[in-house]
Amino acid sequence: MARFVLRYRGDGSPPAADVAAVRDEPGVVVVESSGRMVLVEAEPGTVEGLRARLAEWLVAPEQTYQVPDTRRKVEGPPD
Amino acid sequence: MAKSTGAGQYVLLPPQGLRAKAATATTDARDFLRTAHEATGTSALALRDTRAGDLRVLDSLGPDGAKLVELSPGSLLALRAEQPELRVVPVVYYKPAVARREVVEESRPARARAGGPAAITVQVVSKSGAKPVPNAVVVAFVDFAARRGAQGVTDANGRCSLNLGGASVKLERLYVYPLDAHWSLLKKNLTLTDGTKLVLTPLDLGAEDGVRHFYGNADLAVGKGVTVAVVDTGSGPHPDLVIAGGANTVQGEDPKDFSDNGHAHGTHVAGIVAARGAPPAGIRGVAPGVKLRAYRVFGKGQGSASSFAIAKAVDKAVADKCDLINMSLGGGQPDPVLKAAVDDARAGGSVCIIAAGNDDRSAVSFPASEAMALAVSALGRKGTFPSTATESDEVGAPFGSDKKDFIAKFSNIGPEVDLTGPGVAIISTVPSGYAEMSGTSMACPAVTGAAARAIAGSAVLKAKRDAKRSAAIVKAIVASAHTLGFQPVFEGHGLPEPK
Repeated sequence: MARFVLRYRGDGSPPAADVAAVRDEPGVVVVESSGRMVLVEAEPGTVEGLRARLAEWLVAPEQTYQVPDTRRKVEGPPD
Repeated sequence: MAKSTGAGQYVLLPPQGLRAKAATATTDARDFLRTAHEATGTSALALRDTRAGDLRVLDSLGPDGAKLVELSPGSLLALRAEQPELRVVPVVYYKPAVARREVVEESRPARARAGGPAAITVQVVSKSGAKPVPNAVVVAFVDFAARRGAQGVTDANGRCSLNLGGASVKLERLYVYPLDAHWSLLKKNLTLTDGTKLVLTPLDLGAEDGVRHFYGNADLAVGKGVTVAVVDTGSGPHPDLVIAGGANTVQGEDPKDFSDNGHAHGTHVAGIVAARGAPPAGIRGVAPGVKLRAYRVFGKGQGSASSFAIAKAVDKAVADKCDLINMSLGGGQPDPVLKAAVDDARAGGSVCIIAAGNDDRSAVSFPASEAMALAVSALGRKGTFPSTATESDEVGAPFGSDKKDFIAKFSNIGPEVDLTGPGVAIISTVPSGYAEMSGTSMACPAVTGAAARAIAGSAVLKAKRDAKRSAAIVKAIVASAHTLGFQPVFEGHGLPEPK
């Protein structure tokens, strides 16, 4: 299982039928919904099925970003 | 005339979709696309800024459609200023995917030399009263190029043990990064022995750092009427900060807890925008009169944030009517979700101002690289920090018209850079008091504060929240910028410095 973000790209609010289709998709666990986005856990193959059916939705793996830092760091001990 | 002649190919797109429509694009933008269509494959199209050079239209998807264009860095910058509604994105050529072997450096403990201890204990103390400095990070390099050495954090007595493999070790470089209250320290070519004392200089909140050099200590009303979002590690509480509200978009945490997550980064960023302290007892931000809102996207004690949490925070900031959204974060592969959030913010009347990244002159990182973002590089100023501070390491060419100005060595650069701001050795608020930090993370809020100054009191703030409004905001910010004498890939339009 991996996490994916679905974001509605159409005008206005996401259609209730689309949201229901995501929620009811076998093998998909809705982790969180917010406005025009839904965060789900699913197998990549399952998500591909959703992507094909929900043309107005953008589907992408959840990514992470680090706190920026300019400090120098040691990468290995002395030889 | 263009400042640089290295031309590149870009796709010029309407605000939404591939073809401009009356509902989503201004007449000015549509007229420009039509003029460009007529110039396709024939003559070069002159921009209003005659210094910038021409634009060459290579292909067009019809009068109102997207265009394939060739631009120099100067003409790219001029085009983005003249037509802020239009999206200008580099052409991408896809290659077959090839597998890449990852190389992992083997980590092993240092070998102790015969008869000597493997660890050296050093003590970090303050120049003020020789008091121990706890929680300082000490980084010792025996081989700086290979990044080999040892590092640790000082305890309550200011002591830190470094496993360097001997009782007396020659170091190429030693860095000390205090948690707060002091300047950092860099020493080169020294011999470290057990009991070595490292002395840190206390910060002087009344001294002129990079932000105060360029922006001074503003009146408390400066920036009034503008709402600024800080999407970061959370902000405050701090006596110099007045935070009007915000949200925590980290899944599983209290959605109302937008306080700092322990990293201090977001509190530092917020202070650069809008701290309301009175030097030398406190710190004054660039636009202390703005309404400041904090959106925490990093979990408590966590160093990473999810794209979902960041996109959700940007959506919330737009819904909360923030005019400017400061994003001192980024890196990694372009993410369509975050890109869509930045695009939607612009379509909803808000402008995202994003740090270019700190990868030592690499390409501008995502999401600052996005067409609808304003990307910010980091500017330094000699004389605004001690020569013993770690920031002395970041001084280097190119220097500006004023030879004390430089673009920090850590700053990312490229044609996507829109603006530059002071980001080297900047003093600001942290939950435990005050600290100095460096990065495009610091340059970004300085520019956001200056952008707030540029639009405060202007009619654009009362305009309908749509793409035309955000285009007008961008125009006002860009109009307030002036060159410091660097190439556009380093400074974009330069430093925003509204009168």
